[in-house]
Amino acid sequence: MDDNSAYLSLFFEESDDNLQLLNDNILELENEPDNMDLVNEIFRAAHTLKGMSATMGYDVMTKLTHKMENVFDLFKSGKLKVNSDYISLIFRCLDRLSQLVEDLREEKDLTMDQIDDLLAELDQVETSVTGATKVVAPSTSTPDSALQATFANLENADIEVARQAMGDGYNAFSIAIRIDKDSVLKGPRVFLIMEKLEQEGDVLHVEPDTQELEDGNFETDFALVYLTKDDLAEVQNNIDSNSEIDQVIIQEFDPDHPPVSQAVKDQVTASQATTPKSVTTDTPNTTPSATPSEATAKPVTKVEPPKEEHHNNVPHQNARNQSIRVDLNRLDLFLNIVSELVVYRNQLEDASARNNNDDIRDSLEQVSRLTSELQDLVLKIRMQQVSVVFNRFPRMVRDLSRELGKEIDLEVIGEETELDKTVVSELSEPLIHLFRNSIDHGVEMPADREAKGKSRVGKIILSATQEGNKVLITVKDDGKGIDAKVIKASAERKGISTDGMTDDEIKNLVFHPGFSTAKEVTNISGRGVGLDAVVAKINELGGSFEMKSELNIGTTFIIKLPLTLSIIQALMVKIGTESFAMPLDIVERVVMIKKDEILTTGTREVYAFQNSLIPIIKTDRLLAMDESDQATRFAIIVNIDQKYYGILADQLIGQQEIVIKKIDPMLQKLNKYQGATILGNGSIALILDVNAICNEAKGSR
Amino acid sequence: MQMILFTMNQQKYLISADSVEEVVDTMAITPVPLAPKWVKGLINLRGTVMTVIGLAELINVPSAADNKNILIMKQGEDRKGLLIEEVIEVVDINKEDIQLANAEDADYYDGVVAFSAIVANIVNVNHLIF
Repeated sequence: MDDNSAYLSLFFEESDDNLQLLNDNILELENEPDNMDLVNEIFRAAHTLKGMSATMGYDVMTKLTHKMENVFDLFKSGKLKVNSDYISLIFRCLDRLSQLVEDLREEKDLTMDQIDDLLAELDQVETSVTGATKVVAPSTSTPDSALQATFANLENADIEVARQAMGDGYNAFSIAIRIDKDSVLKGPRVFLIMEKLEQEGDVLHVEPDTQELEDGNFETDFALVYLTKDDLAEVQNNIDSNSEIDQVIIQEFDPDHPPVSQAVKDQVTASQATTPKSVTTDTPNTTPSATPSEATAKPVTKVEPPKEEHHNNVPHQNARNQSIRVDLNRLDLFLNIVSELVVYRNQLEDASARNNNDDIRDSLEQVSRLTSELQDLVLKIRMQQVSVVFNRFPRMVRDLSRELGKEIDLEVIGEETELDKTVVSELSEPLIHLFRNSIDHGVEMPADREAKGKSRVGKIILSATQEGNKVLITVKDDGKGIDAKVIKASAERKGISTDGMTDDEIKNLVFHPGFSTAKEVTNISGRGVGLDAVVAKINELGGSFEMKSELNIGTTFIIKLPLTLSIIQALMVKIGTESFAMPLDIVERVVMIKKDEILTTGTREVYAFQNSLIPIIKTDRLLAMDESDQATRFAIIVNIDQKYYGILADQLIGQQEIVIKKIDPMLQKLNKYQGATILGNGSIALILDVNAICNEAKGSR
Repeated sequence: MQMILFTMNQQKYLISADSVEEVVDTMAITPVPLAPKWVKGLINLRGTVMTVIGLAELINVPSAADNKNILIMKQGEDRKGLLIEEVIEVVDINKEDIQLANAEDADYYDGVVAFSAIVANIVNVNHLIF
């Protein structure tokens, strides 16, 4: 096929969108099986998906979507009652489709045996209702023996538009095209041809109408009136660049003798043709040149066949948002440039404060204000709603609870909360772990719940709220909670000592790598990985993690994430002669510490902080710098996974907002630095990766 | 082809001008503890943090006492600084004038050029630093 690569990324994006839309709507359909609007929207999304995959030539995907669409058709006509078995089947189809899209993304070839099982199941559903599987509307256009560029429904208005455009230097052609009769995908093929034509001009009128063409409800021929600045040869080339065309006729369009055919069309065609025509006649009046938006809008503005009149009132897909897609790389670049600007602003402010020049100061203040606004703006542009991630959980709760025989209600709060795009895209993995935990270990079986005097239906609340420059994400269930006794017994069986631990500390053992409390391993969770992976991921994102659990009341997981990864509050310190930055949010407090207050126990150095001994990290030694012999130094007490560490520094500089700059991958591999930042005076300071440093200290015990 | 002629500890070297985006005067270099010895540190090039590699350390020749220039090397979107002693000039070198192109055993030498009483080694280090 031609031009596939150009459409490929668009195809992936739109497939993802449509699959998500289908997932959401089908989930809703299970609750409201009689909602016809919903069925129609589902039908539209499936249809778009089919059209797109067909256009791209992905037959396997097309076949599966087509079969799925047939089932939706049965829902629509009321021949099939929506029930959860069908819904599950459709969900499996959607999963398979997502898998197919993933495969395509990785440039794998698709094969029919990837979908054979589902096709068979879908067939079964269909035959159980209809006996036969064909549910195709009768074709409306009559096959002509000879291809003719004539029109049955050409209106005077169209002819006038053509006449006017010709006066403005446009050429008008009447074109008839015959598609290869062996073409499997006539509709998409026509769509491609039209789209190509519309890149160079305007399709004024087309027969059969666009809806029919797109559905493939025609034999092989279609005809159109075309306005363009191209000459006949160029139009010919344009059309010839498509494949699967059997025959083409291009004639100059003569507005005085319009090529009107005498063929009498039946009523259905006539009534159907009127609606889409209003779409095509409007546009050339304004600008006869490029209206590609029209081409993309077409698949959305579906008109239902007149036999189901009530569907004509269905509102079209959600009102179009005034938004555009932007390549994330460009946004990254934009952010980089703005960060640069921030750095220079800081430098200028520094210089202006030194030189005390009033003329400069006033305009500099303005520049400073604008820079701050610009910085806020670019950070806002990078924000994405957490709903992108939250979307998947209703489906997951449904599937898992069915599988486990539990009844669970999911409430989602604050899904419009926004986070930096990079954080959002990393968020789903830890959340899935938490959900699996809550559904599998948290919420009890309905009978057990009743026995405890709770309602049969368990509840999980997923919420997101913004708090200052942090976002709090909580997963809260009303299940059985964590029983400190069970954990204690399990820990002792595994040889982990729990002597002198408080209940809370014991509960937190679930974050211990390799710890699982499930009595039997299910295929949902309980493989001993999970919670410790969650903690690691959240730390990597610069966030913190907390768990609260009460026996028989429930468990709450709280994730705190920074709004953005690129600008943070930092504590600036000096180690030796060099400046370093540390993220301020993990700093608990700073204490002055005398040399003899650092105790050596075996191979470790510790310090008595709040009645317990905490590890001291000698940064100068760790970084292989000259060891300081200062009598008093500063210990920056940081809190990592509810554990304190003291990080030594020679001097405190202060707290400031810094822009994180990426460093060479080669330097990142040292696992000591999160990045670097440029200070107001133009010099560079490394940002210590405190998490990695402390974890290393923990591991080296 | 255009090449940049520069010195390092009294030796002359040439490097293809295609691989160099610009030449800047040396500036404050922030050292990175624990980095390999040929990483001199980080510079602030107009708001971008860039790694600077010491050419002398990289190709194991004695370093000069005073390094005056940094060559900003490019490969695709990546940029890295290469610390050298001093750039002399940009010269046009004919391919035919390059001798011993394949004779050197070190993979960072691309041959030797002799012209107007100067002998210079051609260095090519992009495959080492990117």
